[in-house]
Amino acid sequence: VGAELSSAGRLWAWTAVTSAPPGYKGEVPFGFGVVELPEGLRVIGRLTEARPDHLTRDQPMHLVLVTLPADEDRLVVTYAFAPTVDTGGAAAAPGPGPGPTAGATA
Amino acid sequence: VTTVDIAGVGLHRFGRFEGVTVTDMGVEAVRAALREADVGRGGFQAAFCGTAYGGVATGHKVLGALGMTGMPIVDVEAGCASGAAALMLAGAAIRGGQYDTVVVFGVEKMPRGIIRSSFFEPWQEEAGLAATPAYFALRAQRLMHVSGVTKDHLATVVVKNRRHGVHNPDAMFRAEVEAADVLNSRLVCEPLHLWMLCSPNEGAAAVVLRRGEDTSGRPDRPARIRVAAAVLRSHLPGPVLSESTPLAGLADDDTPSATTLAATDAYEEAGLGPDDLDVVECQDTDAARELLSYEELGLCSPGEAAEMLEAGATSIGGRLPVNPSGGLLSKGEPLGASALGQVVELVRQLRGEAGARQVHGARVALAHTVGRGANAGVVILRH
Repeated sequence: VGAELSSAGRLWAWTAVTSAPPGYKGEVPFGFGVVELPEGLRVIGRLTEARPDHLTRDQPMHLVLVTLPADEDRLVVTYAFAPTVDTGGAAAAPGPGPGPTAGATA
Repeated sequence: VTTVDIAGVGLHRFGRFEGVTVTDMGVEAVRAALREADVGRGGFQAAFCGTAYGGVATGHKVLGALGMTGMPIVDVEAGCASGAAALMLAGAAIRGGQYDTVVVFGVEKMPRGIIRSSFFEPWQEEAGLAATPAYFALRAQRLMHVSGVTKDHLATVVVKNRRHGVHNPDAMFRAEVEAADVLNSRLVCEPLHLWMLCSPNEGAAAVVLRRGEDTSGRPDRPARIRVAAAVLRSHLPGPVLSESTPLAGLADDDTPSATTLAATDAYEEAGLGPDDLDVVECQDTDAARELLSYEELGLCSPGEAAEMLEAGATSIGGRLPVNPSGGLLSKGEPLGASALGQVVELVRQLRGEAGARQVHGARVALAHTVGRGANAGVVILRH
């Protein structure tokens, strides 16, 4: 049984990974989040945007492929989500985002 | 009705111990618990050992070092709730009439840093998806979005638990911290900073369970501490941020969490509710996880965790102190020992032996662990 899902959705939750998790050889930081597809499915994956304050809730995202180093002579291709439109920075991002970065809260 | 009593508890403190093996730590904890229970060789009929990283025959090695083998010894892996799973199995066996006395212990010696888990497939590791704190961060961000929790609240959880931990000689971190320092510690995964995350570490805890006896006519016998409930539940399919760590889930926010399932069963088994609790030890893997636990355990209404924290209700001296031991944020988290470490703390609280961190007059206590699997454990103790 299979079902075709949309390759685009909206951003539901996001963060960035700042130090390499176990078994990972790629660059840090990298974006990490959940995109909700119109079929009612939420998918976890990498995000191409590694700056949380450049992302906003419910913004359109679409599926892309990214290539990462695995071993010295081997690459791994995996899925990620990329912002569909450039939000032009998050300084004016509306709504309750993830909040300011380190130490900036009152 | 057969009841289950706690006859003795023991602990190897949590921290980092170069040159001390996981077996050494287990021996210390089990020996202390047996001494308290006045149980020697041949005095127990089964043993259950919680561990996630101990490897083959972890429980046998501990009891072998003590020269106390021959009975069934069962290692139990249930992630962060391994000790709760062991306690559930042991308690059920006693209630079912299989054994009179059972030793339950948990041991762990974790590598430093982000936990490497065989749970993840190699391709997930290579894609950067084995980033455990990132899943915590996503859950924290959602809690902040739906519940009005702020980063300041997350820092307040750390300040509270570290303040409690100052008085716990068995904790790894025993210095108070200030909110500003928490918020200035290294950013791991927005919104979580380093000090908002517990440290995987080392330690052991042990409990001797005994079939309950009626001591009402025996003033010479000390008041018993009873296991009123010991429950383990797994997750229901659906939620994308479940501790089962799926890669996808349904757009459904109404499915109860593994913690809620376990708590509901435990309250029913104990014939008690959240209003009856005097003290709680809950899973504070990260600061947001503690606040989510308030809601999932029914300690407050949905959306009121931050208010409960701010009002001081969950500090020692408040209405319902949570993590008087200092929590995992002060103790660190040796997975297999974690849940039983909570039970040891709560037994000391119920006996009035907790010194400067004592919750006065505590009669009913709840311990909560949740982690990969998903596995959620809830234990209720009654004095």
